[in-house]
Amino acid sequence: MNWKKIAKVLLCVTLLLMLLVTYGCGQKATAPTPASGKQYTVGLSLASATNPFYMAMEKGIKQKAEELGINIRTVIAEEDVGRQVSGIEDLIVAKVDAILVSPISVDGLKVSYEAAKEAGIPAISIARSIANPELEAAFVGLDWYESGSVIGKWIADEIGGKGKVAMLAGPAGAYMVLRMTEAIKDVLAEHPGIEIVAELYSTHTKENGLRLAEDVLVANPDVDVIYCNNDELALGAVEAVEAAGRLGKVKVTGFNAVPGAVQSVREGRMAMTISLRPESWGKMAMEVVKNVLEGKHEGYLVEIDTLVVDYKNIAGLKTEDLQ
Amino acid sequence: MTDANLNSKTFQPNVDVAWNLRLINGIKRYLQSWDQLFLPACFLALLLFLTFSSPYFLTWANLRNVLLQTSILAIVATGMTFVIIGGGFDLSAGSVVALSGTAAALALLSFGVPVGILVGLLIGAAIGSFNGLLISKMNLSPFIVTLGTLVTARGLALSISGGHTVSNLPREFTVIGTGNLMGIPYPALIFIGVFVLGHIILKYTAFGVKIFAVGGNREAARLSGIKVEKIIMATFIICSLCASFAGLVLAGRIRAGEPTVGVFLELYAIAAVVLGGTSLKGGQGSLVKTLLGVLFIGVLQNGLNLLNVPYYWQQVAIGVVFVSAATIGALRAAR
Repeated sequence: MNWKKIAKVLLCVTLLLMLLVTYGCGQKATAPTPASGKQYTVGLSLASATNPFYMAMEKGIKQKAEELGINIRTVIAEEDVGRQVSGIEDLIVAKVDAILVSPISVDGLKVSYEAAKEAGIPAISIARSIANPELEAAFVGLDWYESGSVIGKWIADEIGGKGKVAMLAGPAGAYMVLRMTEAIKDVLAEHPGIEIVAELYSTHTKENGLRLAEDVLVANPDVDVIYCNNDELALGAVEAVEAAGRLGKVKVTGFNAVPGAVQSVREGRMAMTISLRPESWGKMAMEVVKNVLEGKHEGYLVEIDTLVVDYKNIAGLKTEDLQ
Repeated sequence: MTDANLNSKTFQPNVDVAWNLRLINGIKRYLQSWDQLFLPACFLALLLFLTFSSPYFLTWANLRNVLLQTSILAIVATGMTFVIIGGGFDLSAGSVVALSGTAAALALLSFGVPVGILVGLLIGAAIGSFNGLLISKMNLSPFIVTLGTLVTARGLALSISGGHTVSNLPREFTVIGTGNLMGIPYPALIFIGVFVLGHIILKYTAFGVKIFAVGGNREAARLSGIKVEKIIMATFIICSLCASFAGLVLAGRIRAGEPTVGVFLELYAIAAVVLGGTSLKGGQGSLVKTLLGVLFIGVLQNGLNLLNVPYYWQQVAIGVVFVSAATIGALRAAR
C-alpha cells in the first residue's frame, strides 16, 4: 500500500509545481512594462523552437521588443500547419495588436491571415511568406531565388564550372526549398560540365544530413560538392564526408550560419554557409512591426542583409558580423 | 452474514467484523468513485484555474476556438477508441489524415467535390482494411504494421502532391472546415456527430459488445462464436475512416491539401484515449472517457498558449499530464 501513497503524493506535488510554474511564467510574461504611449502586445508565431536559426531570431525579436516597450506573446508551430493555424487563433482571441508570423505553408496559412485581417489585426511575415501578399502588412525577408543563385555561383566558381554536385534540397514542398533548388539548378545549368547527381528531400535535421550524405557518397564516391539547404543538414553531411575519409575533397555548403556551422567552416570542415544574421533580422522585423502599428510602414518586402561565410573570409569575421 | 448471527449476542465479534467489512467496502467504493471523478475533477480545476488566470479563456470566441481546435483530434481519437478497445492501436492515423486530405484535394480539383470526398474516404477505408487484414489474419503486431502504413501514407501524400500544398479548393468543400451554424463551427458539429454515432455503436449495438469481448479476451470471444478477425478488421477500418474524415475537415479548415500535416497526431489521439481512462490492454473503455481526454488536451494546449507559457515548458506540462494519467491508471489497476 505504501508505494501507492507515495506515488499519489508525488503526483499531487508534481501537478501543483506545474501549476505554479505555469502561473509564474504566465504572470512574468504578461506583466505590463512601463512605456511611453500605448502598450502594444505583439503575437509571435514561429515555425520551430529547436532550430537555432529561429531561436536566434526570437532572441532578436524579444530584445528589440523590450527596447521598444512591446509585449510579446509566443506560439510555436513545430512545423505543423494545423498547429500554426490553432496558435494564431489563440493569438487573435488574446487580442494582440499585431501578429508576426513565419508561415510554414505558402497556401495553408492563408486562412489565418484572413482571420487576423477580419479581426483588424495586421499580420507581418518574417523569414517565410504566403502566396497572398495582399493579406500581409509587410514581409521582412529575402528573395530565396537570389540566395539560391548566390550559392549556385559560389559552387560553380569553386569547382571551375566542372564536376558533380549532390543536392540535399530540404523539406519537400517548402516554398524556400522550391525557390532555392530552382535557382541553383538554373545557375548550374549554365555550366555544361556540371552534373547534378542527386536531389534528395528531407527535413532539416543533422541525422537526415548524415544519412543522405552517406547514401550520396556510396552512390557517387567522386562527388565534388554536397549542397545542403541548411546548416543542420550540412553538419550531418560533413560527418558523413569525414567518415568516408573525403574531408577537404568534398565541399559541403550550408545555409543560415548557425554557430556550429561557423565553427565547422573555421575548422576547415564545412566549406561555405550564408549568414542571414537572424538576430538582426528579428530586430529589423520588430522595427517594421512598430511602424505598421503606428501606420508608418509603406511597401511590402523589407529585405535583409546576408553574408557569405566561407573558408576564404572566415578569418576576418567577427561574431557581431554574424548576429 | 445472516440476521440470526447479527442479532445474537453470542456472536458479537462477528458484528464487529461485519461492520469493519462494511466500512472497508465503503472506503473502497468511495475511492473507486474518486477514481471515476478524478479526471473530471482535474478538468474542472483546470477550467477554473484558466478562468481566473486568463481574461481571454472564458470568452465565447475562445471556447469556440477550443472546440474548433480539438475537432480534428476528437474525430481521430473516436476511431482510435474503437481500435484500442478491440485490443490494438493504430499509428498510421496521422499520416492517413495527411494522405486523405491531400488526395481528396487533388481529386476534387479535377473531378468535383463529391468525387474528392469519396476518394478521401475510400483511401481511409483501404488503408484500414490493409492494416486490419495483416493484423487479424496474419496475426502481425499492430505496432509494425501501422508503423509501416504511417511511413507509406506520408510518402504517398508527399509524392502525389509533389510535396506541394494543393490550394485553391472550392468554397463548397472548404465550408466543412470554415463554416458555422449559429456560431458553432462545422468541424465541432461534425466531431459531435461522429462522437455520438460512435458512442451509440459502441454502447448499444451487438457489434459494440463484440469489440469489447474481443479486446478483453480474444480466445474466449472466439470460443463464444464471435468472428474475431472480422471484428478486429472492422475496428481498424473505422479508425482509418475517422482519420480520413478528419483529414477532409482539416483540409477544409486550412483550405488546402497539405501533405505535411498530422505528424504525431496519432500519438496525441492514443494519449487522449488513455488519458480518459481507457486501458491500452483493451476490453474496456468508452467514448465519453475519450471525449474528456480530448477536451483535456485541447484546453491544456489552448490555456498554455493563452497564459503565454514558454514553449519548452508547454512541452514539459503536456508530458507531465500524460505520465500522471498513466500513473493514475496503474494505481487504479493495482487496487
